[in-house]
Amino acid sequence: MTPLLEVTELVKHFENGGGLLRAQHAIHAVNGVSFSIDRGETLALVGESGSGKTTVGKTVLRLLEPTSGSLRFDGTDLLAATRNELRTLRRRLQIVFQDPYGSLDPRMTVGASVAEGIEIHRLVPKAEIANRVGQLLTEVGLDPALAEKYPHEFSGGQRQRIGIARALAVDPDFIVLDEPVSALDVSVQAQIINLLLDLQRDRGLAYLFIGHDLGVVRHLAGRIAVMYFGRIVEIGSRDEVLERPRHPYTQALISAVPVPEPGSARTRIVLPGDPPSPLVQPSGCPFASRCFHPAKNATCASQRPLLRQLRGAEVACHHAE
Amino acid sequence: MTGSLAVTLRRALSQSDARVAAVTLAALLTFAVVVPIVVPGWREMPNLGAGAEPPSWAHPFGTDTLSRDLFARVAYGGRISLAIAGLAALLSLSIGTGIGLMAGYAGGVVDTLLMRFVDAALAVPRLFILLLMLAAWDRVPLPAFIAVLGLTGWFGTSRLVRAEVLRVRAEPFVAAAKNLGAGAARTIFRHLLPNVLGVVLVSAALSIGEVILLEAGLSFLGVGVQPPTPSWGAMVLDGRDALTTTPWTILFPGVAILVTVLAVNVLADALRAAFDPRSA
Amino acid sequence: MTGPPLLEVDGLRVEYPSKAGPTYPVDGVSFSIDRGEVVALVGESGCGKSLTSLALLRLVPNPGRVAPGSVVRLDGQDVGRLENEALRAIRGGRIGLVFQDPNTSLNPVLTIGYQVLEAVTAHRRLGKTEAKQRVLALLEEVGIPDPLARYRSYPHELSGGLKQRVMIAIALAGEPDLLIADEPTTALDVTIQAQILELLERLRATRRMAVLLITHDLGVVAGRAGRVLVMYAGRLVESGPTDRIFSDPAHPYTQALLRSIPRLTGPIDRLAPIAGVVPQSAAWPLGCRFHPRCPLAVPACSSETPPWRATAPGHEAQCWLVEGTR
Repeated sequence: MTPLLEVTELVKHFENGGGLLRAQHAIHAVNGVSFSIDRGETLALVGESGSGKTTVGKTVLRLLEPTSGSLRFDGTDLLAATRNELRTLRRRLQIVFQDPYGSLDPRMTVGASVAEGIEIHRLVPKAEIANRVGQLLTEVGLDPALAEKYPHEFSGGQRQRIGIARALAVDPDFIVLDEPVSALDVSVQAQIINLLLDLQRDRGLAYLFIGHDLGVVRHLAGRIAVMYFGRIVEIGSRDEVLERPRHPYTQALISAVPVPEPGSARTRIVLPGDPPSPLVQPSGCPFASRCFHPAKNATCASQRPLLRQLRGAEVACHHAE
Repeated sequence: MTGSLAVTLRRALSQSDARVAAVTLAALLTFAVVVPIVVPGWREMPNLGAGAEPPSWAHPFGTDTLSRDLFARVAYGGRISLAIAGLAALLSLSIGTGIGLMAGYAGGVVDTLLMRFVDAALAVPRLFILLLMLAAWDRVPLPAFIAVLGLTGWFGTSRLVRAEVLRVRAEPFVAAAKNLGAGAARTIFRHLLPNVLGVVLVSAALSIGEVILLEAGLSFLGVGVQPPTPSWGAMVLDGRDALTTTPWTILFPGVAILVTVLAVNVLADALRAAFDPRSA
Repeated sequence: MTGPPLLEVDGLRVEYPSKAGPTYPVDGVSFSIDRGEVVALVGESGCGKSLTSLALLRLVPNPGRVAPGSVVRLDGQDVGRLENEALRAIRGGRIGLVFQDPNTSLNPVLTIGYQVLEAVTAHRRLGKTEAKQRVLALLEEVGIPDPLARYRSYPHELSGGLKQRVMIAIALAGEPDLLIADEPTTALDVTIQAQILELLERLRATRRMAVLLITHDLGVVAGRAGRVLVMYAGRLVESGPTDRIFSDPAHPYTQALLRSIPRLTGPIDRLAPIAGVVPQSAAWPLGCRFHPRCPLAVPACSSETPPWRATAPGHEAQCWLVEGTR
């Protein structure tokens, strides 16, 4: 069976500056990322700000145009699609955003926001739209009577539910979840995570979950890809990546997660320094400057490690075993 | 959009200052439309040579140096001034909003070209452009005068609207609409335009005041409304030497301008708030 | 610990006027902090935790105010009675503040050095070279590499983590006895967050400075704070030693909060969210404010404010169902 989404060697550079007197810089946001997602499964893209994870999500939907690489959705080449084909395909690929405040048009009632996709794709007759919107609001746990209200009348968690209903309205197969719970309080966060799991089970949705909270990722994703500096440095099943992390960056990331258990006997790895600047491409391993691996050597500084298959996961580190 | 227009209007008028402004504007309009029908003598000079007379029962606003009834003249001038201000502002706002939306939405070369043009246009004083354009006529027909004022007044508005479009376009809800398959028309009219209306209304308030004063200046320079046709601006400028001797000749048209500009500002502010569902 | 506590807060209320009468987003908060102690104030957004910290310094944003009858004592001195001069000596002096977002807390058009210098000279008269030495020493202390070069840098040239270190240096400039850190790591990546928390712990130890750590993240609290205060809807609902709060939480809210966290270890079950939404300060529920969302609520909960009851020395909760002594 072919995967639902297949991303191959995706590259996205942003051209920056380039005025009369300034040289043009390219920001290397994504530097060759490959992965695939099957129907009904969740892949999490994990990384810190600047790792390129959000850019991958937007490029997959062609909200940003990739610099190079290939994107195949259900066997169709997304990059070769005509404007009309793309419009039809877009119905099947949706997105839920991080910011519950900016993701809904403040001038539209939530009913109108949820109805927008239905209107564009003429999914149900006009007279039935209101009914359909009510069903969708109910499905995400909201009172259908709230359709006449405006976004500012809702809490952050409720707005995320509305954003999810808007995505579901066009009956997608695949949803990019761009940090959908990062801006929410823990008690509400749990509500949304449960909702996303229920919807996946009921509708057979595939998710690309973009996030940084490994606790949340563990509850949502079957597979995890860890990104650093525009590349995947480790990808594998949830258990392999979280229980037996091979890449030193993954190890540091897991150890840095604040755990609500005092005195838990974990060794904390505090990484020195900041991630490197995306303006400069290091010739070797981009993580070398912060790496604590005992076997770190000259090869790390000169040769970029490629993903290699280790037991249960792929890891981009010269010294991982 | 924000419900129906009626709902928005009702919301705007729920504030007492907005109600006062709306009633004032309506009264001024009625005054300008009705009085010249009932009291048609705005160009008659019954007592030429008698000089300006102060307000009396016969002439509630007094008369000017040519003994013309100022009550009738202020009313008739109101027709001219309000028509010019309203129509010219409407024209410039429409063009400015359109150009701003186009530049902000299209971006790239279109944006660069449009905005460089606006930069250049803003660098030349508006009065100078107006004088050049109006010099083509001996006696400027009113529609041409309004068109010329409207065509030279949209530069600033387009700038404001474009900046607002750039801000709104970066919001995730616009990306969400695009991802749902929304085309340019839907994005512009359903999402961008309603979210930049606030800026447009602020711009409208400023622009109406500006046009009333510009019209006065142009009429004074002899390229606007020509005597004996009165306009509020022209009457104020006519009477400027009489401030100490016959103050009533400029008091009434002056007050009319002031009240109009004030009322428009209050009303525009209330409308801006009413168009924003968050302020309900 | 003997002697009066460093900070004593008693019945602190913050009042905001509204058309329907005053609201109290902070409504009767009492606690104390000893010298050199790290106390965490934990709660979800809208519970009033940040406003509490601002009220300690009488920095409540307009049109709010600290309600009469609230008592805040620093070293036994009533902060509420201080005049402007004396209040300024406390703000940024004896009490330092670090905010959540280092990207907006620094002035983008002034150099790092200048901004720390301003803080240094605000509280002490120093000669030019002496003041600069002091700034460099502070930058060094908060772990900024190459302070001399960074002195001339502008905020945009620094990463988020370094900017937060600069904010901490500014807070330290007045040699504070108490550092209030309001969500100091929320805007930062996890690996950077670990660095900043490490730094705060080091500063507390070397300076014997007390820290009031305000956060929504119980994970940040564990292993960092000695005591935890749990806040809900304008009031404290539980206070106790960190270990006990995590191992044996007494208040149903604390219990529910801990259950709702997605964890890195243990079984991957369905999460247990807290039903409903956080109430607004204009309509705090009667009785125990958690009762509408509480799975254990009994009739008394909706009518009467529960008393504080102690389940162990230093561990108290405000709940009818807690067995314990007052």
